Amino acid sequence: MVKRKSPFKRGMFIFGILLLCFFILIPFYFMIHVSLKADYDPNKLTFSNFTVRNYLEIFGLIQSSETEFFGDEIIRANLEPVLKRIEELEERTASLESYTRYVHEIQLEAKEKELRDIVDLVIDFSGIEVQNREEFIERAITPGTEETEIVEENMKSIFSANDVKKFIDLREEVDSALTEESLLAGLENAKAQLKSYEAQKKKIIEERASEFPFLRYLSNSLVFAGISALISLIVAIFGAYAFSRLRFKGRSSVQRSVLFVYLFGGTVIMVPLYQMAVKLGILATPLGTGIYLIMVYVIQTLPVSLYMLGNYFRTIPFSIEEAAIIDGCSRIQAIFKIVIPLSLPAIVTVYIYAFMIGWNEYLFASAFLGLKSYKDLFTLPIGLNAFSGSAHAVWGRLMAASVVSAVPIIIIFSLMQKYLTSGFTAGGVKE
Amino acid sequence: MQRAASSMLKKENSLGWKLVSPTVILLMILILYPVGYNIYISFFDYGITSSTFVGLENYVRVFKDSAFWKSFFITVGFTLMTVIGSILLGLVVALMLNKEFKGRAIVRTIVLLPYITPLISIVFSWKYIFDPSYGPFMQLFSQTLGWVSPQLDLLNNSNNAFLVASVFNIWRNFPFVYLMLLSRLQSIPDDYYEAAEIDGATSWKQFTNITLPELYFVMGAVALMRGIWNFYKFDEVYLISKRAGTLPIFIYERVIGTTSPEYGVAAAIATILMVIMLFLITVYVKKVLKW
Repeated sequence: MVKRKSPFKRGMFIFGILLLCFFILIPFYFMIHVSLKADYDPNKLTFSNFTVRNYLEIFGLIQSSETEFFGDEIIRANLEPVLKRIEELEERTASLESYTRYVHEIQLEAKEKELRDIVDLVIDFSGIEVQNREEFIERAITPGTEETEIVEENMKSIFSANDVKKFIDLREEVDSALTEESLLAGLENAKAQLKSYEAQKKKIIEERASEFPFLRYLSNSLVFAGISALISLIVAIFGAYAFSRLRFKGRSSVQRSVLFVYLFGGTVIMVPLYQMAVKLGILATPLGTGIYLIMVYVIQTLPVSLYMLGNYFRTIPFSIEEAAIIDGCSRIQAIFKIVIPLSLPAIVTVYIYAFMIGWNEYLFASAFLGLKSYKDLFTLPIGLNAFSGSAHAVWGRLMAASVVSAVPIIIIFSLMQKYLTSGFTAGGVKE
Repeated sequence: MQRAASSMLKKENSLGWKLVSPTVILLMILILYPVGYNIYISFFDYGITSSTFVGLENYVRVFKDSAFWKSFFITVGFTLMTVIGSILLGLVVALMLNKEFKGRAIVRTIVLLPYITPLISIVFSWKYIFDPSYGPFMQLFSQTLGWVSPQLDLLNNSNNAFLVASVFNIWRNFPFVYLMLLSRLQSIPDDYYEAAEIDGATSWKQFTNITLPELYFVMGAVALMRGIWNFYKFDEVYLISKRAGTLPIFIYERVIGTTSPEYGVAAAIATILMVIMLFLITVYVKKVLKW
């Protein structure tokens, strides 16, 4: 019995399908579109000119000058205040004389003015009788004079004790500013400041020179996700075999806790995992950080691997193994010779899932690698996100990187769609 | 014979434990211990060098903090919106793609794209679309159509950033719902519909009386699962907007994104989050898995 549909309903249906495809594909469209446009014009807020330069750029095949991308102005705007500070500080720290001159002319002047203003205020408020106001103020800001005490007495009734103390401290500071000891200390301080500004200058220039290290992020992500998925798979094959084939005490409670963890999120254990790493000093070296991160990825992917593999192993008839065991195979041999070859599609599927979880992970990578900023270990998610927030971000390159990191995954999925979609529905996918 | 059987069982028992021991050890060190440690930290004013026991003070501080409550309600709103949105969309798409039509195979592949594309690859495209200064969304609705004010900042305003995050989350996760519902739909026998047809039931009647009751259980299960996952979802929200303000971001900002981390407070919030999650998980396990 074939139902006949009215043309209106058919039209609506086709419209719905098209709308759905539009809704799904629009971000992909912009991803590809922007990745193929390079020149961003800040005045017109538009992209123009079709080009593949972004792709060449992220693979390090070409290096366009920074001016082409950002214009000199952004760099100059970043660099200029730093250069100005460096010039000032260099002049100041050239010798003890020049520093003394600076203290005398600029620092003390400002502080003395502040003191004078305060005393002026005190005179007005408390109505101290003075003949020569200028002279009185001058004497009042020099410690150990009669005027000082008068002013201090009067201050106590106007200002809070804290403010009075600040005033006295400032006065002492001004008084002792020109002693050799404090001058030397101040000079040291200024030199340290100079150093930090020079480091800043170096950083701006270096950042300008360094290209966006997309390939390094990509290989880091491959290593972290690849190794952790492999470890997780190996642990899960044995664990899932035990769950599905062997009877042992406590099996169901272990299985249940695995399922609990499967629904558990990383957010909840972020603070303790971070604290554990800090307490044990793991985060002090890049190697330790990398290993710890891989172990955290393993525990995140393990439950789903166990769950999916366990489900699959149960579909393999036990009689095949039994025959092998009767023929003299040990159980371990049976796993390697029978179970693993028979469940190869499932094993590949599980590996891809575990890999994807590591590939997408942001939270722990940012917590562990960001702390000491191990830039060489940055994975794609944190690398790209850090890049997107920097002044050097260019949509074109960012989108080209997005396309490159998406294409292999999409190809793998389309090739293995049959296995992977059944994996989704078998246990759902941990995220 | 009896002895042989019992020794076999013993062997099986010890082999079983040997095979699961790596799993159990990993779970203990990296899940069980951290969960306990997290509760421990939540009772301390936890610093880098020293820590003092403060009892429930962290919890009191959290509950008195209006920022926490704002974040809490944003999280609840985000979870409800994304669960309802992705289930409705997933249901509609599953019903549509359960019908035969030309090109169905291609559409079925396209529908999976949002779910399988790596998060980091697609998130910038979304940020670009909603970018306040040159995003196509603003260009269309503000400059061309004039429907929204050009000052509207969908990504960086903490009052509405979670809305974009919700839309993104629905877009990304509805294929999961679709797959679960489709596999259930495909297992409904055709006879049901044929019988209903003979009895003269309209297609709406068929939907409400046959399809929906068959789907209820799967929909409930998926809703719970998505609810649990979205309640502590971090990366999908954070990468769209740092200002979306859900609880996981609230915790993250107190530990990583700050120069003066408050581990005790963050741990207290994490514990609260965990209690809510455990409740949801228990419901899931009791109702769906029927333990």
